[in-house]
Amino acid sequence: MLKYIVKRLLVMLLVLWAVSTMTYFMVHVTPGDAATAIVFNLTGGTNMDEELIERINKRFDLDKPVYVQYFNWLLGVFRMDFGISYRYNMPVMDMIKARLPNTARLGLTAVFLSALIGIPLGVLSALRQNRLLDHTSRVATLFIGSVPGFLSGLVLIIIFSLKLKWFPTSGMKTAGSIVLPAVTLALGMVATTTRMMRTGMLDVLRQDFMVVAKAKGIRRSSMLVSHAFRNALPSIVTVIGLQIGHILGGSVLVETIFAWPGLGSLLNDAVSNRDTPMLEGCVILITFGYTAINLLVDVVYAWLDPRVKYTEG
Amino acid sequence: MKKKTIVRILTVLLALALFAGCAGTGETTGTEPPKTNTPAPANTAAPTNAPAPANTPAPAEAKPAARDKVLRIAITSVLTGLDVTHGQGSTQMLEQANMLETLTVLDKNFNVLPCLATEWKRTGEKTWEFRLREGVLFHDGTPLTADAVKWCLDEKSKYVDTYAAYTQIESIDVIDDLTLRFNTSEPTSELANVLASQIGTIMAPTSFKADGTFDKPIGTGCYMYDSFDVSASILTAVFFDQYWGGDPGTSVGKRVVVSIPDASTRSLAAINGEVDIMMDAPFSELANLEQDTNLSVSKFTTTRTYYLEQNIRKEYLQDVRVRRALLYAIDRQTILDSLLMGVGGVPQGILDASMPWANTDVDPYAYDPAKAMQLLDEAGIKDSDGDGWREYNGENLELVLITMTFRPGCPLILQAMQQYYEEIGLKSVTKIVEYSTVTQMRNDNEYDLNLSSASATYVPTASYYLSSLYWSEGSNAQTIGYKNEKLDELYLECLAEDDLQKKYALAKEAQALAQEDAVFTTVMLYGAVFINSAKVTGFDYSPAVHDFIVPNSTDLMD
Amino acid sequence: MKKRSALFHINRKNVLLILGLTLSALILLITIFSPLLETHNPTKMNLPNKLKAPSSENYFGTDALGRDVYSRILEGSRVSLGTAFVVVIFSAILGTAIGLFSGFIGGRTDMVCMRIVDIFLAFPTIVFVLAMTTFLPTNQLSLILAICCINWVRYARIARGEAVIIRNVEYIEAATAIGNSKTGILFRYFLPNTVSKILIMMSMDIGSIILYCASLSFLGLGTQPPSPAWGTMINEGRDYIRNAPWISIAPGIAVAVTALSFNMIGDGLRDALDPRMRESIQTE
Repeated sequence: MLKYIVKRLLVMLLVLWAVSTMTYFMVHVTPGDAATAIVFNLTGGTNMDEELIERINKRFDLDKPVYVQYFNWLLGVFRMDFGISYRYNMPVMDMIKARLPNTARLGLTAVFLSALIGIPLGVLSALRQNRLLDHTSRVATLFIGSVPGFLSGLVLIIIFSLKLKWFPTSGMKTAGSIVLPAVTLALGMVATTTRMMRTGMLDVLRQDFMVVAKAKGIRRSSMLVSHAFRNALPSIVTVIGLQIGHILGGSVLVETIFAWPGLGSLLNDAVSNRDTPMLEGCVILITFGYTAINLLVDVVYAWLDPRVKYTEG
Repeated sequence: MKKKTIVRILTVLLALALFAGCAGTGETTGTEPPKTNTPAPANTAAPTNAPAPANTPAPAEAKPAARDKVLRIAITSVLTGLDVTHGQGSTQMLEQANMLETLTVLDKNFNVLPCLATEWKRTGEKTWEFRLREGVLFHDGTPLTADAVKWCLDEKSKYVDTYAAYTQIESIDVIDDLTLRFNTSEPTSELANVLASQIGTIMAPTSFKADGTFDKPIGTGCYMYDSFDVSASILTAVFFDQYWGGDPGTSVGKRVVVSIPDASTRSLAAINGEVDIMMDAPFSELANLEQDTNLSVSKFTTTRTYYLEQNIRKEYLQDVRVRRALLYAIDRQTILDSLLMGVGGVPQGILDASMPWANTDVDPYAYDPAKAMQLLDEAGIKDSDGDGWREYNGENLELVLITMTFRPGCPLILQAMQQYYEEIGLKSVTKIVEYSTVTQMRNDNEYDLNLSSASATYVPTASYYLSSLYWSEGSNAQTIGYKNEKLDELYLECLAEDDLQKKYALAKEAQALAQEDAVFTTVMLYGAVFINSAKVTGFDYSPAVHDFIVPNSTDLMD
Repeated sequence: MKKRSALFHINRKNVLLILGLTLSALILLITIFSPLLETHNPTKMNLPNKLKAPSSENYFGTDALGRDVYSRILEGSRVSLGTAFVVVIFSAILGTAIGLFSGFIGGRTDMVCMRIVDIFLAFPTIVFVLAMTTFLPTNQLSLILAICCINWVRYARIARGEAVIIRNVEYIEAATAIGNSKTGILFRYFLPNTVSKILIMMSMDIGSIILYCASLSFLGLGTQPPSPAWGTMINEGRDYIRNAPWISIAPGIAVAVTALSFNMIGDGLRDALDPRMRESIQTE
């Protein structure tokens, strides 16, 4: 077990280095001239002259050879320092630090909401396998998951903000602000949560001890609680792991629609403004987080489910 | 069975740990205040670090319960910082938060009026003198002096990349405590206008800490800095009791400026009453909201233009007949009425007629498809193989039309243009891309027509728009190689001319030449839609600013 | 060992699969015959007729430029479904080939391949595509390229897993012992297993790709107006959502129904597959 974790950690380090390098070169060879982007960001101006471009290139180290820039940058990444944002004129990390908790809060709330709906629905679905309830729940959750998040978000705003006045349309001003973006994000995850829970439950229900318990005449409900649900826990852990990718990707859209100051909207903003240092910082931090959480989930899963072999992958 | 119990316990613990771990990180990072100029709002509400005098009750406080209202203003751009010496937040703190001021201001008709300076004159070909107002206090209680002004502008000249190009200030001399001399690099008669724009905002040297790091913006405006959350882009300013301009008669004690870049989201926030003033709502909201008694919807024509750049590096566009034909083909009135919902205007020349230096006595290229087709025929762009599309040198001509996503009307106008060109037998493709991509395509010469947008009063002078688009040494003209020598001469003369009437005449003459050349042509005037709360009073749109100004006297009714 | 004649064990109770197949077949037919079904020119502007509510003339109303939303959705089905199919087929072929190769060769090659896969798996899809589009021109081809670049890895992982299992599992040895030839084994046991898993993955993927493309169009990437891709249409309609909701809602439903039908196939196939294999196929 320990060996497995150490091995995974080593692989993770390698992956993170590769990801950083790839991101750096992917973003740094952009054709959009960095200097132009900087002037537009800082002043909104479009007037460029040679002298100005030269000055900016100097200020942001853009005049050095690429490998020197890359080396300096990589050294910085080790210290979690991604340089100075073109757009904010402040350290990228400061901005990320301010935004990350917001995305974490949004994501956790969404996971919680999707679990709240998905887990009971999955269990019910499994108990009524191939009955009307099962089919309805599966089609319904799949349909909800198939509606693009930015559209369901808009519809939610119109119904719950404009018509019913329950929640604010955007921002992060009040406690209720989180509800609509979290629900939007959760809607995209309910299908997966339900499905995983359903298959997990089905597997458990088929297992020997359940059959025995049934034969013994133990009451179904107590059996479910004491045996089945607990045995399905590994599925829940997997679900959480799977959702992380959805949250990180989905937050780009949802945060943009709801003007939620998180990492996703920061990334999107950085892309459209060619704020290269910020873009690199966001992408790397997101991939770091994604990889780390996936590792954690795998380890927990392996712990919970002794059938998993550690050697694979 | 024992093993199972252990697994069970571990399971629960781990699941808890996972949640707690995630939640934990969220909390710890949350409570730790961001290290930048982003004090948590709660901490700064009690102004511990603000100097005492400013906060002791002002002697002439007549109405004790007044100024308890909060005015919330939504802006389109993201507020990335407040250090104006590095070019951040200048427009927002000048025009919406009213924290900073400039030496001069412009009224709606572009007349220069005193603000922090009371008198000014051009003392030589390249020198100007400004006399500051006496008794003006910065928010921290320090007086406004010539040294402070010089310090602020000198800092800008170091870090604001466009400062030198726009102001033409070379150096500043302090003559006495309240008098400054500006030395310019070119002969210019426009310095007083230039300094009224956001480039000229004045911030106190005490805005920086002793170690040279930026602390908070300290200005002279009617509202002073309260808090700024850079991550959510929310700026809060509170009323400044010792404002030199006296009581503006408002009950607004606090202004909150919040960035909501997405137009739909922004207008939904306004409709839901979450903000009191917002600009650039989707055009479609106009008709719908006029019945809503809680809101006041208004539209204005701004000095911003939608302009068409014709890429004269392409052979066929070097023919002025082709360029004109491409303008005659566009039905601007229909675009305005049907697509832009009447928001904006059809230009009578290059600039909006409300600007005193606008020349409206030119050919406006009114919709005339017959003339457009005739001009194309004359230029040899004809449909000779009968497939319905015109050819140039024996090949079907396919125009590449590009625009940026940044301004709401651009994608609509561009798609309409494509239709109008189809009607005169010209094939075209549209590309709607980010601003940076437009720059790239322009550099790579990969387009024919570029629809863009520019403010004609970013620097509110008669010569600014000429310099930004038409002057052969400006980057826009340089990119496509546009040069009209006569126009260049007129521009430089206009820049230097002291006499206003002569200056405007020169500007008009240059605009006439520009319109004839049809290389950069204004196709539409930019309109702004505001959705304000019906409670807002004293708000008026002025075209003589960069974005939109919310006057000190703006108030909220009960 | 249970003998199986078909890839999947399909029974009548598999409602999801039946529903999914029927719906997808219908959608595909509509897409193929879309030019015949269009009632208007989908890109033709008609300003006097703008923002008309759904009627017998314009089934789904008209948009801000007076274009018929119904015809645009039909036209857009080609762009959206076309993109999804190209991406899925391309990444499935590429991923499966690399995965099988890596799994069969084993050793150092396998190690290197799998580390590359790990690198790509570290990116959430949208984040990767966003980063990649910063240096690609804004058009549909770039979008396809960017998604393919990251999407193949999941196929590679499945295919590689299969190859490794096959290499090790005893029943191959047993089969060879009884006298079956190696190619015979490959075709009888190995390919059906792999193919079924890949097929499930593909059908789930079509749904996801359609959603991704819509999301990316929303963020201003991919197809450009006036081309009627569904995501672009939804985005264009956002400004009118209060006055003319059909401009956004109609293509939104098109996206949802299409994604749903392919997701149902995927889920249905998963049910039909041997339960032990079920969970190794997961989508993000």
